[in-house]
Amino acid sequence: MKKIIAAVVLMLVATGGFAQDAISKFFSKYQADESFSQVTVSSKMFGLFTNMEADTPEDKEVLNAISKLKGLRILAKEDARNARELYKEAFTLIPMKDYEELLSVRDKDKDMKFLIKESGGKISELIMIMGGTKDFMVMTLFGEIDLKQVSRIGKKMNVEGLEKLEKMNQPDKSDKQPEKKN
Amino acid sequence: MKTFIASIILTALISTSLAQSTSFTTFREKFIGEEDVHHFSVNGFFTRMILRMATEDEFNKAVKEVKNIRLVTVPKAAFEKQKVTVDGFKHELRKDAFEELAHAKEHGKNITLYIQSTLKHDNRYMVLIDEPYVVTLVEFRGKVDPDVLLKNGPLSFNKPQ
Repeated sequence: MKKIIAAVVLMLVATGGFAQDAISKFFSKYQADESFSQVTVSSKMFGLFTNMEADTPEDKEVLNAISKLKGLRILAKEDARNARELYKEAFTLIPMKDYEELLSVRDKDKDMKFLIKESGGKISELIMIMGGTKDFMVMTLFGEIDLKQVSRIGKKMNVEGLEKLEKMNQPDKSDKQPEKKN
Repeated sequence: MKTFIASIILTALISTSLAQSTSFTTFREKFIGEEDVHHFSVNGFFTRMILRMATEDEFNKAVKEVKNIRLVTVPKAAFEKQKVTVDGFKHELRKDAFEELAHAKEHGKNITLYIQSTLKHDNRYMVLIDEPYVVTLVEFRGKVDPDVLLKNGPLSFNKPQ
């Protein structure tokens, strides 16, 4: 009987460990490192948006999307010589089999990747990893995520990088019907 | 007439003390008389006046319903002298129904934002700033636009240049 209880406890502990968000390992590894900046936003903060009055239907959609979020975590390092190495390391610490790549951006001075975790047709986690010549940032947003609203949420919360997802909401130019010439 | 004035002052004093949370009062009283401990308190009118002079219009609009603001700064040496810790105070905050809204850590500075909800949405907010040599506690009450709390609070370090 004791063995069964012990096994159940062990399973629960193990499941709890896996239930942690993707950058928990990063947080654990670098939380004592003063050169990193860390931000954690709780579900309570997002819940405050439920009571806000929206001026426009568009604002209402954004507020509704924000109120469904359960948390946000950011780990960032500015003026980092090892930003590219940290970027590569992120992919070794994140259990990639649980995520799908959503978008990849390569600018002249930085790389960005967006990953999502999807189950039952709903997105439960969005990860943004950014590594440049000087800066590194990894962000995880979890809860019920509406991808259409993410870039707007990013603007509302001043999270740099999420505006890249705005392009996903715009119709593809190639889909447009060619204009008739007279 | 004197009795009337005295009763007004007494009412004002009682309402001021009631306006403070138990945890803020406990924190302030713990360090009374210690060296380099500073405390100030201003009402909503002065808060709005200061903000009008010092900050952007958007921020000013968002905090127009803040009723009062209190601040106390305590050097870390006083914590050691009183044999208390910041983590211990965080525990007191949780017992006093303060819930964590957000936390940020940057350049050795830990900033935590708490909320104590009320039914009237006239919430009480607490900001705990834990720096290497000093701890600052700010408490304010009223309605605050959460949008501004996010933009000017823990995520402000991440503003695009």
